Amino acid sequence: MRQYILRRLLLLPVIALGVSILVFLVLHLVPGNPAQVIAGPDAPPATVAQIEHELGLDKPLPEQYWNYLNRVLHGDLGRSLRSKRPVTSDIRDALPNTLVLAALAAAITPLIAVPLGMLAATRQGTPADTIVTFFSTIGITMPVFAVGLLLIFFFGIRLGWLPISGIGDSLWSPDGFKHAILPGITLSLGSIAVVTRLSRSALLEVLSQDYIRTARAKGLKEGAVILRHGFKNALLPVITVYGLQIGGLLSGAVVTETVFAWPGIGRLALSAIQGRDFPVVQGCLLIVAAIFVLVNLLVDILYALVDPRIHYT
Amino acid sequence: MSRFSSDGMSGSFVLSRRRFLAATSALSASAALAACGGSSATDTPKPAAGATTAPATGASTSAPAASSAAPPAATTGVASSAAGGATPAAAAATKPAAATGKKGGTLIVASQADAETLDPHITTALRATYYLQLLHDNLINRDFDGSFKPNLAESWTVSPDGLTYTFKLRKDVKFHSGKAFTSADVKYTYERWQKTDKSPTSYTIKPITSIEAPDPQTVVFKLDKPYNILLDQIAGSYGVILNQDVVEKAGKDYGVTVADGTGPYKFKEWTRQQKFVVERNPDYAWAGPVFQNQGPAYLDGVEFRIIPEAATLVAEFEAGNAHVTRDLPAQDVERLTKGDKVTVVKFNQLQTTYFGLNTKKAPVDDVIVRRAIGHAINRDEIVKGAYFGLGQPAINMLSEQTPGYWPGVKGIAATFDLEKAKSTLDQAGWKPGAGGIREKNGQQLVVPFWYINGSSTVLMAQILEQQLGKAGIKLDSKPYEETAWFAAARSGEQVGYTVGVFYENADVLRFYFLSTNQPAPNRFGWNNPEMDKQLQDSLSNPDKAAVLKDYEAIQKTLAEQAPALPLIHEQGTVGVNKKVQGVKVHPSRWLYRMLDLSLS
Repeated sequence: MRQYILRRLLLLPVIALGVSILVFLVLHLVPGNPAQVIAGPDAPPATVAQIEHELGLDKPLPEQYWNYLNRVLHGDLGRSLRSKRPVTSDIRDALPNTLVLAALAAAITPLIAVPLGMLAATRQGTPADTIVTFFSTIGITMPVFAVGLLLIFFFGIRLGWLPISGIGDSLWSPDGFKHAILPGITLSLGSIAVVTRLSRSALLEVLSQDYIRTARAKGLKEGAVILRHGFKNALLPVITVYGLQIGGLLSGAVVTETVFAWPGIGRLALSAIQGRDFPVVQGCLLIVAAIFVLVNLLVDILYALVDPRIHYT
Repeated sequence: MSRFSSDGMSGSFVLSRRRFLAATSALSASAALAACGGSSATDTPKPAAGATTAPATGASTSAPAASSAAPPAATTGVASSAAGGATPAAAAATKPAAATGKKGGTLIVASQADAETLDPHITTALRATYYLQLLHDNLINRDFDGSFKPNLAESWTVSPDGLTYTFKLRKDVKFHSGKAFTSADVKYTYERWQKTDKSPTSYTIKPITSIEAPDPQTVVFKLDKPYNILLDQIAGSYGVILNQDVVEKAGKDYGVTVADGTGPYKFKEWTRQQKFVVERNPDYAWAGPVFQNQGPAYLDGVEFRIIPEAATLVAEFEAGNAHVTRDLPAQDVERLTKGDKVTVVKFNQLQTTYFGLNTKKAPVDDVIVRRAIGHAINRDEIVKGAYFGLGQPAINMLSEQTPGYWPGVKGIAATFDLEKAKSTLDQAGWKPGAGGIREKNGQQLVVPFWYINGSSTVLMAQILEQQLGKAGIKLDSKPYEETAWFAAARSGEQVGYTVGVFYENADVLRFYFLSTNQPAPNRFGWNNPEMDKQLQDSLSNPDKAAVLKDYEAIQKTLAEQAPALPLIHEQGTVGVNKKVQGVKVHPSRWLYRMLDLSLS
């Protein structure tokens, strides 16, 4: 197992390199460049050219990438082309906010979705099942921003129970917690819906197996049958999908963060993309890719822990 | 089908018609809610369109007699509504008695975007100007009527040949850091502006050949040829005065983590993309006659809260968590005007949104086609349908309040006349063909139309497609993301497009139509040597009557040749919570220094 983990970790820099090349290419192929954004749409070509030169944008692409790579390997992610702030400062400010939101959503999801899915599976065909399935269908199909805006409308304006946007005084204060509720719910709804559906169908699948019949025949109470035998076996596909959902949380965060003005990495990256602020975009995506890889690794390890049949070489 | 099917859709879940309708209407309602937003698609020629009122040096249109007093003599510009009088007392005399406002409270401004830097020499962002005008002062301010009034300068004179501008500075001004303001700071600031390599706006003060500070209260700008819009740059948002010591000490960090000024508010805190906070400067006493309040601000401070999603911004504003906002979507204005906690102030601004045409690209290289498009456009429909009535139909690039506006374009511009559009196209050989689209020599009359994605522009494109379709013209509209549009519209491949522009005077015509301003902002491919001469003359001719004649000729030609079809002069809106007192919106500076605002 240890060797497996080590090998997976060694892949990380390779993946990071791949991501950075891809992002670099895409950014430079998209129309519009940061010099134009900084100079403003109507600046004389001479001014734009000057800014391009100042930013090193007139050098050939491979040379630009090589310079960038060199700096990154020395720990320098560069400075924002627009604000001149170090990229690491911007990321350091934004990342905790996104992580908290994603962690909140990631924690809520199994706590709500798995019991709900199990409930629906064990009471298949009853009204409880219908309701759970109905709401999870809506949760899957409804766009994140629509959910967010509806929540704002009901809880923020109509009822006035919860704050509408921003992060409040600070992330780790009671005020900050209140501000995290609506965006946290919004972000988690999509994955709750998916995991609920999956838990339900996974458990249904398992409950039709022979060993369940045996357990019942042995005289085990239904609760023990489901929890001890059904649940654990149903978990495997759920964990897989849940791991994939975590990646979705990081990207879904962009929309949630925009709707709720939550100052996280998603919003930072979006604003940087609109302003063609290459260093910031690259910095954000590198960090996100790294997190994604690590989380996937953790999920795979969890997988192995849950199912003793799985053995990594 | 087995009882334990794993697709989850078996069992008793029935999608009844009712459930279906309920779900889809909920979805579309929320989609409609979220569909607003999108940045305002405007050029911001804040530097270049600094052209003054057509007559040079600070004369307001309300007092033409005073300004044309003696073209050869030195023109004094103090309170330009008074003809002369260079003492501070005279300036103060034009002000009403000190206004009152309740002291206290922090004004919360909801803003869709943040600024990137507080360094006025390296930015063109409108958002930055909102912050800069609170932190800083200029030598002179722009009054609500467009005239120039004292700020840090008590008085100024311009030599008869228009080559020397002398400013006399106030003695009582201090920076927030405590240092006394002197002419050395002015000299430093303007030289830095000229020299900053990557300044996108330094070309606007290029004509200045030297800046002298003979004594701490005097600054002299020297030019090598007359430049009618110099005062506009000095009064402009980027012409604010910086503290030499602080700027030099901060180096690369100036405008990033450090900023110092003389303005009514001091820099307090800036968390990027979240909030920008300033607090009252208790020593402020040099506002100048543009403002009622001559002392420190009533507000304890101002906080800009950044909320990128328009719907969320409106929610915060309606809930009373933000007092003021400039970013109301057009479709919410009517509803909010009648709110019980809030209202909307509408104001006229110097703004034009237009349908631009690249005169080098077929089919719009033919003036007949351009004018036919103009005749096919029903501007009233656009104002009502795309802008919810918030604006005036436009037939001139300049709005009526712009000094130098020539009313004569009314008879010449291509205004709505569908029959005329059809008949002129018929005569030019464009006959109706397949699908109702006109054809000539096997070519269909198709006009690509590139626009920046936004709530109003999307509607505008749809309306234009319909209107032009009635004349047999196919409008091929394509939405763009903002930055991508700015690249595409200067590529030379653009044919038809739309964008808006804010300006402070008629110099915006030179900004757009000078042949050397291609590929942008002259996206029209416009090259007219006669007009170039008139534009250059308007910039450097000290004879105000001659300048007016220039502008008249220019507007006439533009109306005849129609490289740009003006569509609407958009009306500005400011959402205001009813607790806010003293709101007076400036036609080009929004809430300017926020000196007269208070919270009840």
